[in-house]
Amino acid sequence: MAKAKPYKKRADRLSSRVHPTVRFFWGLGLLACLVFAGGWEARGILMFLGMALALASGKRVSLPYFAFLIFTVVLFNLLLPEGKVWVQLGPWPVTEGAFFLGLGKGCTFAGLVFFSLASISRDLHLPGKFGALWAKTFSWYEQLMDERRVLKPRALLMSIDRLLERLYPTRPGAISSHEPEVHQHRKAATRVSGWVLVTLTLVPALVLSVVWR
Amino acid sequence: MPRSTKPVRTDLVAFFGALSLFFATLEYLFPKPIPFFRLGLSNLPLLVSLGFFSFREQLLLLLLKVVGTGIVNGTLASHVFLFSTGATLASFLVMYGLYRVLPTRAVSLTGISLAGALASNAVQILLAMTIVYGPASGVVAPWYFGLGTFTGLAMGWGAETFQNHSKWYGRLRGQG
Repeated sequence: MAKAKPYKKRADRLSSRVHPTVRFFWGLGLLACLVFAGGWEARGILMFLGMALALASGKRVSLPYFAFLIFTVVLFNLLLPEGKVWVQLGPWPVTEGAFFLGLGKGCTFAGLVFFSLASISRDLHLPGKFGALWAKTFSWYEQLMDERRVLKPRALLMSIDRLLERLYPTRPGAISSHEPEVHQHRKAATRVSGWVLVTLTLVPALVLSVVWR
Repeated sequence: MPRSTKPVRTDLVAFFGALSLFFATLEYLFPKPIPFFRLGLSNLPLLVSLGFFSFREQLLLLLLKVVGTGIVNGTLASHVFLFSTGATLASFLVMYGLYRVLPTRAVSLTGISLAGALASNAVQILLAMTIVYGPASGVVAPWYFGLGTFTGLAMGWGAETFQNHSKWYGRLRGQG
């Protein structure tokens, strides 16, 4: 079995510049540009913009995964011939129309994931009762991540039991409060450099999706 | 079905939600042998809580799982989120239905997990055919169901082992 990679956080270069809520709506705007862009060329350019932003946000981007995603979308599109025949492989005509349609679709789906990776921050505040519940959940999640090294593969069940008991006591006489410590992270407002970044990406993306139709 | 008047145990639901996210992250950190292949570790809390969560609590847990995974992995605004929501909802409805409708001894947790995994796969294939890859992608359905059978059985076995041997879980059920 392949060895697990150590859990290492990469630097998020966007969080210090753009507030999580602004970042969320910025991402939605870019997503809309990608979805409404006409040709595969525009979608390809936007996909690379998304990739750059995802990398800047410190998220893990597996290039083989996305290459495979685009390849399979193109492949399945080629099974439904459309337009000029490029080459005939036995009974199967490889057509231009199907290829570029698949390429555009593949770039769109890969771009959607990239923009989503870049725009969704863990500090995103969710409103209402669900937001409060989410804050609790996330706090426990962070505690589990902090203590994950106590899990021992050789005595997995026992070590899981111990970890669960420590975080959520069930023994008679144990502390009955099951309230996790919820940290309220106050995020700074979007900085000027953040607004510049938002404008420099959103305006060209908008132009690209409107012009290249 | 009469509407439950029992208050929702939000702390416990939040804790199980955190466990789901924790397992999702662990799975994300391991390299995948096959692209798009998922073991579905994050479904384990949903599976083991079938015995003591009400329908409302289970739905809340499901919501925390899909939205939380979307936020933690950053896929909330992509088609991945749609796939995850559809698949989790389908598998939950099948698992919950089987758990509530059939007598306890008629089907084991492994059987319930297998049914849930196959329902999840069916929804994912339908979504892939209609949204991402087109109708031709139906050709991979047999392979996909084969993998789903393997992961469903594996997760069911894991959940059953935990349910039968975990002291923490036993005490929790006793409190329920």
